[in-house]
Amino acid sequence: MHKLLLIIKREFLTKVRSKAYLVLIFLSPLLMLGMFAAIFYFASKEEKAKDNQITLLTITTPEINQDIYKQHPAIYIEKGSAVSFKQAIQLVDDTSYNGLIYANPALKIMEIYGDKNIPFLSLKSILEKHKRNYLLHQNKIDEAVITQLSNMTPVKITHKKESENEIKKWVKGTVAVGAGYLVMMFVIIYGNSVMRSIIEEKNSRVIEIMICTVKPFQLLLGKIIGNALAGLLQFFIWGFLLLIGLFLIESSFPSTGGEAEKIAQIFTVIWDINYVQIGISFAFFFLSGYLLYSSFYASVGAAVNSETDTQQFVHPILLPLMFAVYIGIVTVVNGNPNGSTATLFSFIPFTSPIVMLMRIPYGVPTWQIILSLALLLVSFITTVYLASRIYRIGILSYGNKPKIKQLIKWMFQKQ
Amino acid sequence: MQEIILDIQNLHKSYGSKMALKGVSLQINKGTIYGLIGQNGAGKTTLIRILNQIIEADRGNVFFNGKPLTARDIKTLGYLPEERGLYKNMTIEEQALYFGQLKGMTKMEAKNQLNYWLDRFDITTWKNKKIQDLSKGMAQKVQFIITVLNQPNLLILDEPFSGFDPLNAQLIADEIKNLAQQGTTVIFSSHRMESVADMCDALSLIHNGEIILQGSISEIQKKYAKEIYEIHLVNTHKEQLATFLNNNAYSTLIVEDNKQELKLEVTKVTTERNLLQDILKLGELKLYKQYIPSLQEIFIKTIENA
Repeated sequence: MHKLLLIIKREFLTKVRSKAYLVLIFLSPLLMLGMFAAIFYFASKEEKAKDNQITLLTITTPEINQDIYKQHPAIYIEKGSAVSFKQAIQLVDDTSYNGLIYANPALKIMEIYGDKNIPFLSLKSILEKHKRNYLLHQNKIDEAVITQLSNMTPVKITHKKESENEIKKWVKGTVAVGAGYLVMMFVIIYGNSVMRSIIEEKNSRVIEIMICTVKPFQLLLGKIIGNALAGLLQFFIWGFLLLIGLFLIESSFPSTGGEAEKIAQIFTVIWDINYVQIGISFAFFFLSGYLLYSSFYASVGAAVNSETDTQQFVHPILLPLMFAVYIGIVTVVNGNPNGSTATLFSFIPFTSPIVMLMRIPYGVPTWQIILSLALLLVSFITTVYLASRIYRIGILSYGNKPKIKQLIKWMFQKQ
Repeated sequence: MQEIILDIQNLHKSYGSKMALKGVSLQINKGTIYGLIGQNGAGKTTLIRILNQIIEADRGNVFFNGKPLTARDIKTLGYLPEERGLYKNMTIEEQALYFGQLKGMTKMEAKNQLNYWLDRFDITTWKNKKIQDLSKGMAQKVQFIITVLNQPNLLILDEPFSGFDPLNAQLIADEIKNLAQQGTTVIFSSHRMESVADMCDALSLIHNGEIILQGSISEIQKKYAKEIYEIHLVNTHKEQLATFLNNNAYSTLIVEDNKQELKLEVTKVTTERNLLQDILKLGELKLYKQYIPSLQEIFIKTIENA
């Protein structure tokens, strides 16, 4: 036990002291935030820039031109001379105009032609207003009534508030997908880390001194646990940073104005989430998923001589992980979290760490969680045992890269 | 009667269809330096790995201090593998504490021993250096320190001088002898025969998983020395020489025959006295020496005859 603790301590300290770990912990959230900020920045810039790029050919009355200019000052208006509608369309098609306003209320001509970038609805309402005013004047309606009609407050439209349920669903979906991705990412990162650590020991030949002092199984277990602790530490640091980030975002939003109410609602749901439960579930499912997969990574590490040899073995490990995230998004987030497919995959050990974790925010019966964890536990004990059989032979084998068949042989070979 | 620390009886080990050890038996006396000689692939490393309990023998027994070797004995062993290696990103001190504690030492004991050895090799300033910052030779020295840190009763050294320059090799050799004098038993495995002759008290020559030569260095050399004589003659009498060469009592080889001198190698079959009498008839005797072959020659000859 004392030796196992020493190994765990060394693996943990080696991992958390490495520059890569610090970069991963503190720099990647910043990079991710930066990435999202950049996406939002460019998207909103694009939105504003849209009007600037529009050039309209207008063959219409000065009043209409004026009105278009008033409402869309960024649109470039080019007044055309009187030609037929057909010729005008031809002109737009042949040149770089985005669209054409061909309108004259007196002649009962009201045409808008153009590509998808021009603000059709707004232009339509301008033309309709002028047509209405023209008709009103024609029919000698009292000027006061016309003014009244023109200045009449537009119909107030209030969108139905997104129901709390929808917001809840959205927030839960985000949490579920985030947790699923996080487990996948952590399993890959820390599984690789175990694999690299084994390859390093094998290459530096320190392994020979190690295994005359400790049992290969102890060394393997110490390595796996040490890395898992580093992974958990990272998760809790990230979780803490995320909560602080959310808190800062919430306090930086104005409490009144356009979206304030919706954002407040989102935050109510966010703060309603039971983070202790999520944290504990994550810890359990990450650990058991990681333990299951890291034993595969460990076997690969023990079998090969260099990292470049790992590719062909690592791919089959990645596939079920990616499949689990996909299944999770399709069946849990966008489908029925308690449907039969989602439930089935939350029991299969290779997908359950991700799919079950994605289901948890939607509420899962406790017995299902326990059963899923129990199945995982049995599987990981089996895989760690088999991995240790490969490991104890692999670490002393140098030379050619073994084939899968040989790895299976090693499982049953006496040392 | 010297005390036997390690008694290996009839060890067998095979990897698949390849027999790596075919019934190896040997005894090692306490406080001696014991050579394990053999070509690459002869079975030395397999034997060493069994002693270190890295692998298990298929058959046979190993007794350490009279009792079957168990995992508990590991902390009294020190092992320097042929393929050296330490954790590159750990400092020497961290490394020493780690391996020392794994061998059952307390942190304090490991620290004290490390300081003792760093001081002895005059490298106290290295303590906080990482292995990746050391040259190969420097790292080898650190590896040696870590091997002896736990003051082992049995020290197993696989090619201990590989990677050392002659000066440092001598330094390490002196330390090994010093440890043996203090009571540490040393198993010294090598394929370089000349270093063994200088270091060891006794040895086993392993070939294809079997011991084909065993004993103390002096015994082995004495055994082989008995048979061959080196004789240099001048002014030889041709007829007597012809008779001598045809004499079935001796097996004679002309090593060199120039006009001034004749060099013979005679394997004695009868008594030494008869040989000397017969030789004196051949001419003027310049050199008569019992030929003591080097260990290297003995090994090569033994392996060739195996």
